[in-house]
This record gives sequence, C-alpha cells and structure tokens, in this order.
Amino acid sequence: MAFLIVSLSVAVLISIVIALSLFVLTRKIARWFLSEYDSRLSNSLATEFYALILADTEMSADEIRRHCGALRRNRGFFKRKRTIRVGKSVLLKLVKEINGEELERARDLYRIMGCASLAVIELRDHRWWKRADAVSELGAMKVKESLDQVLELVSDKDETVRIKALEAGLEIGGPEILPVMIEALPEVTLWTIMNLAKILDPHLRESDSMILSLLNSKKKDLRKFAIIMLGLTKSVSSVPQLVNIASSGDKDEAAYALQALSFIEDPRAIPAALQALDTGTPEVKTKATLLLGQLGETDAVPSISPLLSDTDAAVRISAAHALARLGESGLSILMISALENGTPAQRASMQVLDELKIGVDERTADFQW
Amino acid sequence: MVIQLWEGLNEFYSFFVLVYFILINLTYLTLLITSLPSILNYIRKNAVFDYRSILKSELAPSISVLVPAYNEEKSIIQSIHALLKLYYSNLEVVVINDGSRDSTLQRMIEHFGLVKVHKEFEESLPAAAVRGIYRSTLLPFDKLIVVDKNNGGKSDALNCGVNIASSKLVCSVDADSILEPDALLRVVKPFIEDSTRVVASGGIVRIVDGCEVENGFVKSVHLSKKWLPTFQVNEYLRSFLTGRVGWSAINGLMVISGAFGLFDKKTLIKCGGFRTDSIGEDMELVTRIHRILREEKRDYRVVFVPDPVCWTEAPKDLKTLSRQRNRWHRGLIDTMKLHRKMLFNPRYGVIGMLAFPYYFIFEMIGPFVELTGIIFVLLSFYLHIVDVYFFILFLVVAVIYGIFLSIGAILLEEYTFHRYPDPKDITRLIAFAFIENLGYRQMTAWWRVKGGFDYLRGVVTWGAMNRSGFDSKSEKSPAAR
Repeated sequence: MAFLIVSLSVAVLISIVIALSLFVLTRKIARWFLSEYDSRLSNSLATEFYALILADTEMSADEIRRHCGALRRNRGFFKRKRTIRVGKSVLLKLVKEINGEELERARDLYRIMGCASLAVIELRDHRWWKRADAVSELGAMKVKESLDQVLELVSDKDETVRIKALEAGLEIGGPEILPVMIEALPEVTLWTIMNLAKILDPHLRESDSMILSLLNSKKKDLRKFAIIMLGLTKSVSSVPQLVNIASSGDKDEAAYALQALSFIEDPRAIPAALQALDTGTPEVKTKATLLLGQLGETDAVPSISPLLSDTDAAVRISAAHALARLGESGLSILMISALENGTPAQRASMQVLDELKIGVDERTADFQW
Repeated sequence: MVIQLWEGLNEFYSFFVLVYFILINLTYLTLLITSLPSILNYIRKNAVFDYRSILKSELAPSISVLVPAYNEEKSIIQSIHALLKLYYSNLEVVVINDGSRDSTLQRMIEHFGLVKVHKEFEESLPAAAVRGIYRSTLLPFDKLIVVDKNNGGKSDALNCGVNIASSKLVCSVDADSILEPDALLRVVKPFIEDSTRVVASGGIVRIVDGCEVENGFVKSVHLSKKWLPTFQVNEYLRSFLTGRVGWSAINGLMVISGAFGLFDKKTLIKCGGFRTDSIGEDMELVTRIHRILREEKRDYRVVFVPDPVCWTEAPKDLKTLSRQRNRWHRGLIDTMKLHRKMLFNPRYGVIGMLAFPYYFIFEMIGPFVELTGIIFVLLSFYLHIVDVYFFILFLVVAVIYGIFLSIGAILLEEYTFHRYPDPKDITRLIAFAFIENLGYRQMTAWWRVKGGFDYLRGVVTWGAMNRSGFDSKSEKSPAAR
C-alpha cells in the first residue's frame, strides 16, 4: 500500500515538474517570438480604425455603432474577445493626444461602444485593479453620469483606487468638488498627500480657499496636508492662520506650520517663531530658527545664539545655519563659537563655516518636511 | 544485538526524517503559494504607480546611503559614481572608510576633490573613533560625505554612518554591489505608502555574473556560463522570490540583506544599531527590531520589495563559496542563540510562532538532518537493513520535490519580472534545478554543518571573499573582507 502511495506521488510530482518546465519554456519562447508582433499589429490596426472614425465628423452614432459591431465580428481583424479591450486602450491613448471636436467625438465613441456602462459595473469589482482602471477610464472620458459612483470610490479600502478616484472626480466634476472628496478620504497617508499635491498643481489658484478651509478639519492628517500644501503653494493669505497654528499647543502641527511659513517668507511669522524658540520641542526649535534665518531677522541673533549649545544636535546645527544668514552679527557669533575648544557649539559652528567655505548649501537638508 | 539496536534506531530516525521531510516541504510549498498573489499584486500596483511622483516630490523622505569600504581602492570610485547617479532627489551618500590599509581614502580625496571638514553629529550608536570627515569642493559631488575612521568591521562602520547620516532613512549598501538606478525609488515606496508603520524594507539581491556591466550599471542581463554562479542564481530565486516574499506577506520577514536594506533611522538607533560582535549582522538586526517592537506592542511592518535589484558577485570557486556558506550558517546560529526566547513564544506573534521556528527547525537544523540522513542510509546499506524500494522512492520524491520548488521559483520569476530575456538562460536554469541535487545541495549542506561546528568552536572570522570585479572594461577588483 505504502509502495503504491509513494509511487503515485512520484508519478504526480514528475508530471507536475515536466508540465511546469514545459509551461515555462513554451511561455518564454512564445513571448519571444510572438508577443511584440501580435500587440503591435492589433494596436496599429485599431489606431487606424479609430482615427478613421474620429476624422469623419459627419458619421452618425448609428454608423459608428455599426462599424464597431463589424469590428467585433471580424475575426480576421483581431481576436473578437480582445476587440473591446484593445479598442478601449487605443481610445484612451488617443484622448491624450487629441483635443477639441475630435476629443469630444472620441468620448462619444467610448459611450457608444458601451465602454462607459461596463466601466461603471467594474467600479464594484472585488479586484482593486479593476476598480482603479475603471475609475481612471471614466475620468479620462469625462463620463458625467458616473460622478456619484466615482465619488463613492474616494473612500475605497484601497489607496490606489482612492487616488485614481480623486483624479477622476476632479476631471469630471472640476475643482469645486475637491473639498467633498478630500473630506471623504478615510486616511491621508504620505502617498495620498504627494498625489494630492500633484493633482492640485494645475488648480492651485482656485483651490487656495479650499485648502484653507481644511485647516479647520477634524482630521489631523487633513490639517497636516493643508499646512504642507499652503507652504508649497506659498499662500500669503494663509499666514495669519499658520501663525496661529505655530503658536498653538500641538507641537507636531506647529513644526509643520513653521516650515510652511519659511517657504512663504512673511515677516508676520517672526513673533511666533521667537516664541517657539523658548517653548518648542527640538523639532519646533529647528524649524523656528531656520524660519528666522530665512527671514533675515537680525534682531533674533541674541535669541538664536544660546541654541548653539542646545542638547539636540539638529537644533545646534539649524541655529548655526540661521546665524550664518543673519549678517555680520550672526557670523561673528559663529566665529567666536568656532574658537571654543571641543564644545558642541564649536562643532556646529565649524560645520557651518566649513560649508560656507566649500560652498555646500547643507541648509537645504533642514528644510525637509 | 548491535544490528537489532541499529534497526530500532533506524526505524525511529526514518520516521523522524519522514515527518521532517513532510513538514519542511509543506512550509516551502505554502511560501511558494503565498508568494504568487503577493508578487502579482505588487506588479499590478507598480503598473499604476508613478515613480516620477516620488522623484519630483519635495515630500519624499530623505535617504542617506551608507557604504562601508575596506580596502576597495580599485572599485570605490566607480561605485560612488554609480551611487551618486541613482534616481532620487533627496539623497546623500556616506562612504565610511573603515581603516583601509590600501589607498581607498587617498583615491577618493584625489578623485572627488575632498577636503576635511567639521561635522556635528550625535554618537547615538557606539562606533570606533572618527579620524576625519571629508566633503567635496566640486558641485556635482556635493551629496557625498566621506568618513575616515579606525577599523572596526562592517557593522561598526555602518553604525558610524548612521550617526553621521542626516536623513530620515538610512540605506546600507555593500561597496562591491550594484544598485539599479531606480532601486531607491522602489525600495522607499513602502515607507511612503505606510509611513507610520514601515520601519525597514529590503530589495532583491541577484547574481551579476554573466551580465554586461558598464560604468557601474548592469546593461544587459544574462546567466553566467560557469556552473557555480548558475547554481546560486537558482538558490537566490528560491530564497528571495518565494521565501522572503512569502514571509513579508505575513509580516514575518526576519532577514533584510546587508547588501541592500533601507531602515528608519530613529528605529534603528532605538534598537541599538548593527551588532559589532555578530557574524550575521543583517539577520540579527532585523530579528532584534522585531523583538523590541513586539515587546513594545508597536504596530509596525518589515517589508520585502521584490523588484528593486541589487546585483552582487557570486563566489566562483568552491573554497570561497564554502567560506560564505559557513559564515552564513554561523550567523544564523548566532541570531537564533541570541534571541532564543522568541522561539515558540506567542508574545512575538508571527515571528515567535512561525518565522523563528522555521529558521530554527528547517534552516538551522536542516543541514544536520540532511547529512545524518545520508550517513544513516550508508550504514543501513552496509548492515543490509534498508528497504531498498522504499528508500529509492523516498529519494526520488525528495529530489523531485526539490526540483518542483526550484522550477516554481523560476516560473514565478518568468511570470513576473522575466529579467532573463534569452530563452536559453531559462532552459539552463531549469536544467540546473535538476543537476543541483546531484552533489551541489549535499555539498552546501556539509559546509553549513561545518559552519555549525565552527560556531561551537568559537570561530568568528568572516573569511576572505575572492571577487573578480563586475565591469568587463575595468581592472580586477580587490579582495574584500
């Protein structure tokens, strides 16, 4: 019995191994010989076909539908089951290259082919990548009817889908719906923030007030995002609110606000920065000293110079960097500290003086978010 | 009487080996099966992930690449040039000259126009004394920092680099390895996606032998024509694409290769940095990170990313390979011994109940079981007490199962990343999956057993690694530690 079982196992394993080997090799060879040729042929034929339809502005919807039907039936053209997929991908490529009437026509064609309805159905697919593709498609094709379904995906469990939904929502609904979408986000990770910054880039003028309103959000992540965005966009109108945050109790947000203020370079931030030098955490102190250095606030030299002997190395270095930017009085303190023997202040001062000497702008490293 | 005793012992041992065999293979199979969806999911994510967003963003976390260098005068310049060309905007490269006896430092000073500077840093981790810190006066190399220190070994040099690094993340890289230009963008991705939980991530290490290398980068990928590196390609594929991906999926990854790993600097310092008295410092560090963070009940992740590639040279002669495997096994035993309280300890979750026992039972004890099995069989043949049919069938099952796992890993590679474009290379890999059972596996098992005995004897040396260098156009590279 044991012999039989083991023999059978051996036979099964040998078969699997042979089958796997053959599969790997066949796949490799097939890919090698055919894949490039096949995809190029399908894509070039489809591109030609759609270009023809798009160029003929007189062609009615019925005629287009008839052409698409013919395309689906024609096995010689390319495989039937791939028709919609290849056709859709070609259309999606085309909409990036065309504009005006041609673009509108391509979007109509997308609907006429039934792709929009299919994409809306796929928004509920259990596979995240299907949802992400579908929502991107609807955005690229500006399918207005699908806006509600697209907005639902902003709170999807998958981050990639959420980001794609944000992009699509903005494309379909415009910047006005951004506050609704951002508030609907279940969490705001660094990746989401980076993508939001990218998405908002072309709409910065319209979105300034919207970002400002996010400073009052109950979600800490969103407030943090808003502070960063206001800094990156150098929003002067946000200075009073950022100054408030810099002086507020939340140390984490205060550090971000000081960082944003150093990007905006508005002198109204000076009192808050000076206050932060005494009360802040090492991170807050670092950002406050850099802000004062950035603003060239020479009156702050007496407040910054004691920080050269701070217990935290990052604070000492940022103080030295700030002093280096505060004219003669700052530089002379640095040079005096550099003469001290073996003290932390001497090391920080020497580092910054060396950087000045060799022309390395190390200060940029301190401006990391 | 002796024969009866031997028969009893043989029966017990056969049963033990059978159970061991079933368990180990079930584990490997489970890892293979869990790897496939993880890799496919990763590839799908990659298809919609725009890495340029990281490259362009001011919000991307800063990275300090730490490169310990000891007697690397022939290859260090090219290595640094390649590292400075990596696609990442928020980057600094910290080269730590670990008391080299050759002209490694002098060559760097001359080539990059380095001058000695002061740099304030906190000695958060203990390390040998720093003799000097150098920066370049030339603008293209302003991201380069060279630290000259007394010799203290690789871990000591890395600790020194961590102290000096000014970035949020630190990346350990071997001076004799090649990173792909986008490797940092890919390995940092988990930190961006899950910035609050991810504390470490590692990329895949592949064998560079046979590939065409130009100016410090791999131009085209081929399999080596030599036997030993080809065997190792199969081993690496099994280890990285099935093993590490599978463990990473359940947050049970216990090793991030020392040749290429990215760590959160604060966590690294908090956990005590690299151990200078450990032979397998990379595995020990990751295990310690797990141990400390689990004890603190922190929600964290250690991630393996399967496509940022670090190319490394494989040992090409048996002597070097034996030294490498011996050292790896000593490092494994050392880690197991140091953190033995984690074994089957539910307090450490997946690590204590699955990953640690796996490494202990299968990776550490495995070679001993394999070799004693061979000895038992030979003795049983000598005493004529072996069931020949059963033995042959068992052997065939074991060998074919091994081949099945190897081919599974090759299939995974071919289905996902297909880095070897030439079908001949894949054919060779499959052929080597068969051949490796005829001596190579037994040989590596012997080296590992020997490593175990060396560990008991207190051997702590690294053993010289003879390397011939990557670049076909460059001169031969020096012997590393």
